[in-house]
Amino acid sequence: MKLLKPRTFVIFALAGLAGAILLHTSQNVQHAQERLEALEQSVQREEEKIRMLKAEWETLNRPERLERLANEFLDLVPPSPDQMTGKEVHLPESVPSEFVLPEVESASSPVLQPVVLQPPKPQVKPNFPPPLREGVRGRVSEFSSNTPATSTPLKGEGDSVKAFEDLINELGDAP
Amino acid sequence: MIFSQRLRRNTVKIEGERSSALDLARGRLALMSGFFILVYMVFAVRAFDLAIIQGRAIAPDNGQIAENNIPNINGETPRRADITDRNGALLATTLKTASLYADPHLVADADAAAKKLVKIFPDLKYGDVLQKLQSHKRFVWLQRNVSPDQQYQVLQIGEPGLEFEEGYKRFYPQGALTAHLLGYGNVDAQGLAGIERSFNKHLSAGHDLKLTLDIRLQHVLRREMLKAVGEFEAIGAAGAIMDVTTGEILAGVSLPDFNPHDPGHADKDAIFNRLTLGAYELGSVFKIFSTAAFFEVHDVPMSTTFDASEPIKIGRHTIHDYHAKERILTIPEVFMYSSNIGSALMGRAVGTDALRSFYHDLGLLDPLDFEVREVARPLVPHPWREVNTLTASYGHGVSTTPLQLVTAVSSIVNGGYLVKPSLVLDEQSDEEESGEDIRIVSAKTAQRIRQLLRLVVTDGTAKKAEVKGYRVGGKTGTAEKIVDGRYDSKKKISSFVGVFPMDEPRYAVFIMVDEPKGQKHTWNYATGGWVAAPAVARVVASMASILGISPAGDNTPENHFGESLKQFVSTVSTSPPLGEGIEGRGRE
Repeated sequence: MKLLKPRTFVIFALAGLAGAILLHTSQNVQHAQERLEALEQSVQREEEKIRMLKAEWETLNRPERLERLANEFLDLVPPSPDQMTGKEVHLPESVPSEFVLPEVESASSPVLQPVVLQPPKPQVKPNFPPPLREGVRGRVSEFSSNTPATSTPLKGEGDSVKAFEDLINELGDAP
Repeated sequence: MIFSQRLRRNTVKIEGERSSALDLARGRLALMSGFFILVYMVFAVRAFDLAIIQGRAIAPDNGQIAENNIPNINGETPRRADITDRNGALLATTLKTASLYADPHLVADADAAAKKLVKIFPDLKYGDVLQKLQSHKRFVWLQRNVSPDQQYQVLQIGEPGLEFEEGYKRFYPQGALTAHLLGYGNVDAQGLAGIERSFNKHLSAGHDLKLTLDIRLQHVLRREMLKAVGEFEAIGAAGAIMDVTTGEILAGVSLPDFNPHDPGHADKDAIFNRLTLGAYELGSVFKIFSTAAFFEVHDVPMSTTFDASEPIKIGRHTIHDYHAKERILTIPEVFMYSSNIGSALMGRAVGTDALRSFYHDLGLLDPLDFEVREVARPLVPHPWREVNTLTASYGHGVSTTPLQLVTAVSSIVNGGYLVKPSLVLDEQSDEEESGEDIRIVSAKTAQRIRQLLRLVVTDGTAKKAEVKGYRVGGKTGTAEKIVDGRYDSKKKISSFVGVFPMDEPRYAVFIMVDEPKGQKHTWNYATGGWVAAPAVARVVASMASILGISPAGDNTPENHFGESLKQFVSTVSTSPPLGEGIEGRGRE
């Protein structure tokens, strides 16, 4: 029985061992590949979400909309030429020394009280702050999960400026 | 031969072994069974691998299977690239969307599916969904643009009739703001107009594009144009803001505009790009060019006079002034009162060939070489006779696109260097191109034109274009439109091209309003000075605060730019005219 020499056993055992190692390695590779694919896909999903958010950000930052909101909620107007006396680069970095008050000893002068500024009372503006979360019924998971963000329009949003969701939905209607 | 020899030798060898045949058979048997055992072991290991090892890896997250089934369109063709403005604000992007539809024939349990769908999409109504799922069509839309999360939940229902259509959609966050220059595409993501069309290949290959536009200025321009169109009940308008030294278009608007997401439903007039595709007789703004040509040919002092006391008769034509001064005018007077007679005389002094070749060099007679392919061919008189020279010197008989006009004006006021309009930002060009500037007029002529333009705003037909501290200069134009081959005095094109700051021009702002109607508060005038000049002034004021341009103080030399010309303006005329020359009166 030449076939059953001890050397043959050793060879078979080694072959078996090599096979086992190979299997183990290939399993590892396969798992790693799956993980990689999953990660790549999640990266892709995140990128998609980022694109969606960027698009929404740009939509919300349309000059037309910002201007309308500024007119509605801020008591500010663009500066007139009379109000422009120089550029901000001409402002000094720090307060020039001649404007700094000399230090006075606290004993001889009245104790300085920290000034408490009353926050200005907000003017009555019925739509402010806007009810941002209104209308997202049943979508509590919005911020935690995979939903691509689309925000709810401000209440004051007129017909002239469409909400992002409407715009997105319009896409499908295009021929 | 060799083979047969070897065969013979082998046979000999076995015979020589003298082994027992039984041993040989037993050995072979063992080998065979060993082989089979090995094969079954491989099967067993593989089964173990599939059922236990891989099964466990998948089991914790069922979502993975669902995700894997979504075809990956991304790998095949690159996504159509983004287009941004010069500051990086997004003008066009491509978003991935999935939309839910149903094939009612395949729906197994419409009632259950409808109930579950309503839970996933709170916006849907149970009744509607049920009706759709029970209809006899083969295709009904249920919900557009489903989020991946919702998509997974729908897949969990396991209803074979519910399916998704995934795709990329072109999205324009700015809406109609840049519709005409940016253009639009079709469902196959092929650009059909504007930049989307002319850079179709570039964008399809996934390369982003940065335009010279600034959406803040674009918005300001559009806002003021809308205001002017509304105020004067006009049918449309075109406008542009150009950097006069580089030719970069900072803003370009054509009204009415359209929703680029749905160009199919916009009417033709809205799709039409008046800025580049409309050729108009723009009228007196052309006097900038004829006057520049005059200075180039005749180096005469500003005090040179032209007799505008009587209309010019040439052939069948008579050239009138709108608000005739009926006296002899100096060059600054001709310009600020926009005298057609004076400009025609200047044109005659330049000569037909010289004037035509000057217009040609400015690019007014050929289609514009531009990054957007929708450009009109200017309408040029053929043959060009002397009368055409006279009328062309006040912008009559030659039709050009508004963009060509702004470009030509920029080329003169920037010091005399020809610029080419550009819409795609070239961020590396700054140093290279300085060597190949083409001079179109001398620095002296350019300086004189700047002074004249400033005079028009301080004392002439465009007083409403003044913005304190910003030294606006410009030229108004009011032309009658040709309707059925005749000039129609009721249908006008009123325009104003403004440049600021005039002592060292940086920006040209042009607004043209199509068929404005005179209003009560403008004493029924609908001329460039009443319609377009105030709009340009508002644009300039807004631009100044957006771009942070400081105004000049009251007593600075900049603020008194061009005042030296006032010595040539006769004090006889106490009240400057409200309107300026309307072209078209000259023809019978």
